[in-house]
Amino acid sequence: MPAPKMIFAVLLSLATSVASAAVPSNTEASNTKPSTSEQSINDTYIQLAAAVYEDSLIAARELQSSVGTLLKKPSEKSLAKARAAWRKARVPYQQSETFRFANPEIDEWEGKLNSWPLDEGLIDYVADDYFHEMGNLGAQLNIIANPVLKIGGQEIDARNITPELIESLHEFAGSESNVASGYHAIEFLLWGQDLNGTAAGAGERPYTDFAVGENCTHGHCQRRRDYLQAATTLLVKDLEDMSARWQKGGDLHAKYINLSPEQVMTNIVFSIGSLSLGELAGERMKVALEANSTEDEHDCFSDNTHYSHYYNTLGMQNLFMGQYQRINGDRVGGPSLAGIAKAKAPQAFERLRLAMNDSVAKTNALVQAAEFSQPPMKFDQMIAEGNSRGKALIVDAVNALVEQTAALEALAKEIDVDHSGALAF
Amino acid sequence: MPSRFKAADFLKRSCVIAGFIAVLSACQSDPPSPEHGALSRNTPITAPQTMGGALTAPGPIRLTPQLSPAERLEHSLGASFFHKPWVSAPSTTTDRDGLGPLFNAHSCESCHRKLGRGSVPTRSTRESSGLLFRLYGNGAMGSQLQTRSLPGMDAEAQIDIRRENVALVREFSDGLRIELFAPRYTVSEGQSDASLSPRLAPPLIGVGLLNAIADDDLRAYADPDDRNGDGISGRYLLIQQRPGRFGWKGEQADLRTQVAKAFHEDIGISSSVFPLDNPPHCEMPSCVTIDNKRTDISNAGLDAVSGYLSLLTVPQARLSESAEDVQRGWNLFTRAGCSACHRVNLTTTTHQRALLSEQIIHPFSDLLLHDMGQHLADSADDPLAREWRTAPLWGLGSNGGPYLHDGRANTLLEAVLWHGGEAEAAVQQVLTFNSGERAALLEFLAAL
Repeated sequence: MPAPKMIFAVLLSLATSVASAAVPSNTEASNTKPSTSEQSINDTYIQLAAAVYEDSLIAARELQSSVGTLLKKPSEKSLAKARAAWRKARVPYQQSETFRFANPEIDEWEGKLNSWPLDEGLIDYVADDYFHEMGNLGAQLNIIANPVLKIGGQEIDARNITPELIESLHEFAGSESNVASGYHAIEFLLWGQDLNGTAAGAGERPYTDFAVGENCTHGHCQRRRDYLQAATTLLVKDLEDMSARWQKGGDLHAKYINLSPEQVMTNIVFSIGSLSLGELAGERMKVALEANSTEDEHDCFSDNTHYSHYYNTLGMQNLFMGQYQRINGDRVGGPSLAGIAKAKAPQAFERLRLAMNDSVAKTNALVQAAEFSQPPMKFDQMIAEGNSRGKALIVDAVNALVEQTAALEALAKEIDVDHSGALAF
Repeated sequence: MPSRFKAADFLKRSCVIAGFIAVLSACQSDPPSPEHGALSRNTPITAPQTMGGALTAPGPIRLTPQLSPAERLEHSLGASFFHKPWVSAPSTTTDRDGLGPLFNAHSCESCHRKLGRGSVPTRSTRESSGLLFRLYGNGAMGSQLQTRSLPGMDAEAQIDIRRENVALVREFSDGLRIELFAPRYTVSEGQSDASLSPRLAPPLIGVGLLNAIADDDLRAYADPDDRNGDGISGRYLLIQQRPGRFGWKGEQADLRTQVAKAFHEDIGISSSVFPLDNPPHCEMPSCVTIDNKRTDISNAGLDAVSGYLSLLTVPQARLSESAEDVQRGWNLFTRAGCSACHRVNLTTTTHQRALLSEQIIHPFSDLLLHDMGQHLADSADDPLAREWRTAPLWGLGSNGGPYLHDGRANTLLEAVLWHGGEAEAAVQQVLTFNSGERAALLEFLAAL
């Protein structure tokens, strides 16, 4: 597993900071900056969002650089490094996701970056045995193999695989067919299909899929290289855009300067409620578990799902507590919903604080099982039919998130924050 | 809540079953009950804040907040299958594959945007929208035109849409003239010799409640030969011995089948209800399911989606706002005779789910088919061409246009004025309204 220890170090330090910062008192405030009394909950919101999207951008640029090295000199090592960079890029991004739900501006944008499920057959080759069954027909599906795409009766010139082409395909033939771009498209290109079902193992794409000349495997290596490069470039560009929107002069920055603090609180409750229950507990865990579907999981090619879930959970806690530890270790934060809640409704606050700690702990248990148990058990193994230990781990995490949602709704009611939107799936 | 279900309604019917999917041609001859159209003209409307019984809630359509977080979680699978896109087979996410090979949309959500009404394309079916085309005549393309396909296969056709010609002019007594533009459709790619019947994705409001209306109630409302002489017929299709109630032409009798049909025709997802992929002799990768005897969506998946849709909120009416105008509009609405078809009070039957059981609801629809006149007819010769199911009006204010089966009406006033056939008498009444009365009527509709 590439670089899990490093990530785990970050993870541990964050979990520690979360535990100690769980009491948002003045004594903690010295750890965060700036902490002037004039700073509002609005300022904190902007500060956290700006930091987490800038971190996502920084990490995506590092991914881009690693991809550059891979394409320059394809090898086991350069592929492993690119994969490690991808995993690192997910750390801030998954923490950012909580901002998405209360902000249609982000929700509309994010499909290009984090769309799932991914129609992998439209991008590149899928399992060989399948082609034997289907003859040539299946081969017509993928973009990498086809300079001219025929979709929905239209022909698309795909001779040059550029960020613009990928972006245009994203919007093509259906509002939600986010088939072509984003983290999961890059993930698919770096790992390939995970053909292990619910058994151990992730995607095993060989580095030679990116080789130039006769070492090329599975054909169309130059186009695959172009695709990887274009998708990575597009990811960086999209994150540049979002990062800028939270800086002074950006529309989202302006939006949150102008919102009332009550509206900001509503948005925080909406965001956390939506991600907590409908998206993470429901869509990403319960559905995967119920369906026993092989790889019906979020980061399915890389077997990185446990980290995705963990950092989603951490992101929710960050937003509530008004704090965030950046990827360089710096801490940012300020006045928070937690602070207001603690003053107004100490018991409801305490229930939610404990519930959030528990959610972080239970998703951390997924990480522990996936990375550090012997043998490691990945999320796709946990959801396998008959895996009672795996099921228990997921059910624990789901239940913690359900309690977190219930505690959040109870708190919102008590401090008169309109939380009806938080009930939406 | 007490049931207003009347046992007498059972007894008055004497329906002749005209066969599988046949228009009911002779049914009961119920005299108009004093409650026909529900609240009497002068009853102040205070109650219908609870449009959809216990499911009524302000805000966007969503899973009802009456459920606890743990109960809401139980609906994750249904929500997921509704909102998330389907992908082509084979895919790593096997439970979400099976798209196409011919389809109109990748997901339910892409037409029923945020569970609401679909949009109409500005020029062509190449744009994503909530509009699709049913086909009369059962030709080679089946009963629906699929305008999308997986790569390597042609979509059946593309349709260009124009709205240049004034099809109808309505003139009010005070001289106001409204020109109504009808859409024109031309096949721009591929071929279609069948006549096209455009259908806009409706908002998914209260579908579980409508599903829980007793068949006998619909039979009691029907009056296909207008025996009571009020100028309003009211028919339904017989679907395996049950009255149809879902779809613009009432083609499905129950919600689960309607969901399965939409999965099958619109997304190309096979199920136990519609097991064959579309087209039937497909050799595309998505069709391997036929050989594997595996359907794209399981029965549990279908149940989950139907269950999720059943428990969505019904938008709360805003009848207390600008109450005077709304009240006046309500009086005008009933006085013009609109509530003869846009039936106000219905009561669901007993149901295992308390939230759906014996609820007094106000969908403003009798769920029956009515002759809507030549201008809204969608085919020259089909017996069903002029017949449309009364569109429920609940949530009208919070869900916006465009209105009518093909989204031809951009405003509520246009939608009203397009009505013809059995509704012509009511429209003639509306045309006598002065500007204040028009405003009041629209105020009322927008408050629903």
